[in-house]
Amino acid sequence: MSQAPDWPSTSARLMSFDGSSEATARCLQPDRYSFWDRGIAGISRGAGLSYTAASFSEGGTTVDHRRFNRILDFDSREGIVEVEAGITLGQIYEFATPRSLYLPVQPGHPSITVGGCIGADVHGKNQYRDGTAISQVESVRLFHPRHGILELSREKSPEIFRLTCGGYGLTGNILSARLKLTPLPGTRGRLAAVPIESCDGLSDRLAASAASADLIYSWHDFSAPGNKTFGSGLIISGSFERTPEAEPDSRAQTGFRSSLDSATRGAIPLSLFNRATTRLVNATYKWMTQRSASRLVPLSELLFPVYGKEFYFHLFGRRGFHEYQCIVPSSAFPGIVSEVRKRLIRRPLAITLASGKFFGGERDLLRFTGTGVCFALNFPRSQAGLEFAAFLDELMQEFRGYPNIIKDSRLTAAVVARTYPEYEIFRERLRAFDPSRLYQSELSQRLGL
Amino acid sequence: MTFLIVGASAGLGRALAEECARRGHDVVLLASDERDLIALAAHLRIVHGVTAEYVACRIDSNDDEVWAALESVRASMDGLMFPIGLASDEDTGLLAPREARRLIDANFVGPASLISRFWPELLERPRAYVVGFGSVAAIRGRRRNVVYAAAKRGLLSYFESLRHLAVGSPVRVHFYTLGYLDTQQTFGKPLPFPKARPEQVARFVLDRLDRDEAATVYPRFWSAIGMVLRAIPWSIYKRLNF
Repeated sequence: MSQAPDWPSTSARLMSFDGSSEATARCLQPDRYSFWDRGIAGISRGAGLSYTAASFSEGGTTVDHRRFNRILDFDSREGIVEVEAGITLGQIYEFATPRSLYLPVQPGHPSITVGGCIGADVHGKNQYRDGTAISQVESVRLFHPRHGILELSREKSPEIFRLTCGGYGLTGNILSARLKLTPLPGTRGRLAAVPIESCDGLSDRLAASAASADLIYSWHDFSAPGNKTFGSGLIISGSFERTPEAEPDSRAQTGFRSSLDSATRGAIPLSLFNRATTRLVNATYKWMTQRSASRLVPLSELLFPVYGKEFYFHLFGRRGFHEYQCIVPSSAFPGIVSEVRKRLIRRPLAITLASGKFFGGERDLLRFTGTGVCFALNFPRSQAGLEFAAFLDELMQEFRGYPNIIKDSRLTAAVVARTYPEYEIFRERLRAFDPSRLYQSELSQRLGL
Repeated sequence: MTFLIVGASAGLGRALAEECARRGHDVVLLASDERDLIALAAHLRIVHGVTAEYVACRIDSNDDEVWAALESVRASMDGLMFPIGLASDEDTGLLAPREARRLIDANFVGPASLISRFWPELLERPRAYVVGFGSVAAIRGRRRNVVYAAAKRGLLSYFESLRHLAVGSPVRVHFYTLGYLDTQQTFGKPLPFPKARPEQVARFVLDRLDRDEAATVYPRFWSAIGMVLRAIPWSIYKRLNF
């Protein structure tokens, strides 16, 4: 049915995926292009799976893009697909896989939308080789009430293009994007897990495989800082394999059924993670992962390792979790691990996940990219967790590292200004483009953007 | 087969178009905004490999204009679907005549005119389908959605007659009275009953195309609600405000 002149909206209570931020926002979920004729400025929201409150603010306006989820164009020769920003990675996977194509840079769950990936300039399974989301974006169409609909690319309005990819939705609403798909090297994946005794030499070990592996990361057990096994874990690598007898990945035909949802992540009232259960979970994970030296897996498992493991986030309960993800110079990484270990001995905390990746590239504006070890720690949301995260902020200053803005809901403007050399440049360019600062979120307000 | 979907830009219309394409049927999409049609037609062609054409015009326009707009595609039509609906928040009995006429044209006259134009050609097809959609708002007249409900009730009667006319012919006529759907119309509204997803309705409709069925209520629980509403004595009903 057609609509009355005002677009339907509702007042909704939205929550960040990590459980830290809640706000009541005016939400719209348009399903027609005539919506953009209304000149309504509202921060974009896709699946709402950003750990931080990047798609809403108290009293603000949020535009949900999920009804704009279509494929608009496909150039099979060049492997370029044009999609509306609300399309999910899972939908792209279902389209691209039967055509022997895939998106190399994508985070680990199929529910995440393309617009969210571009806004946060996410990284994938091997950032060193594949870069970040901007690497596979040929162009975007951006809506802003003052500028109308803009075509942005490296050739056309390159400055606004770079401001938008990794701009956290603050330049306007991404309507669609042209993405470069990559030929699929195989029909299945092979995962291998090699045990390591500590974090020593991690950077070199990851770097040695980064140029060639399709997937490479490390997992570490930080649950017992006083033990000599602290930091032991696995280096997990993955590669595509072409197996003639392989059956098609069923998920390419039937779709992905389980999903993540920030509204229901905290359904369990209490956190089930404490130091004892964390040690048990870590031991179990290590045992399960290294049961076989290598195993064949469906493509969907290689590309979406979080799929089917959504329960992990539920175990944090209503209070939620912190993720502190940072990039540190390789030379500084051993020092940071040592300081973290000393801290955890003094003030124990349940570290549910410790993971490393090798990153490469140049820093630019507020994008989470650069060269060094990308290290992530997960822990339950608590006062002790907040203090630990503040300690990590200090380590960043000491060791010249920098945190991931889209992962940490308690990052302050001061920390970001200190750790991102182009923080002021980003602010200036954003204000030059949008003096009225029409697009706001809790994240942008907290970081003084 | 080729289906014309009138009101295809979003909601149930889009879901019907996608379900038709998923089953390998070609589609012709009709709606007022070409931008929505371009996007949907492209998606259906690329994802499902079907022929998807579109015609941008308003169903409540002069029906000669609508018929002319369909000239290039009407010869190949095997089925017509009318998920179109137009309502107004001001439809409380005091609508201006022009606006009332617009609701009647979009919800009843437009679909009926188009069906009567296509009818002779549909009778010549080996198999053809005409699918109309009504609303639970038309179960019983009330002080809201006055003209809209009347038009939908008229459409139900028209489709009942059409089904009678179609006896012995290759044309299957279906009519669905729909409850709340998860579309823009219900977005964010507190509703007393659950919403059906347009995709569910589309699958339900396409599964039943070859059946010979009287008007169907979907979701099914609305049948019971309808019986209760119709049974409420006037002395009580007149006091209700819904």
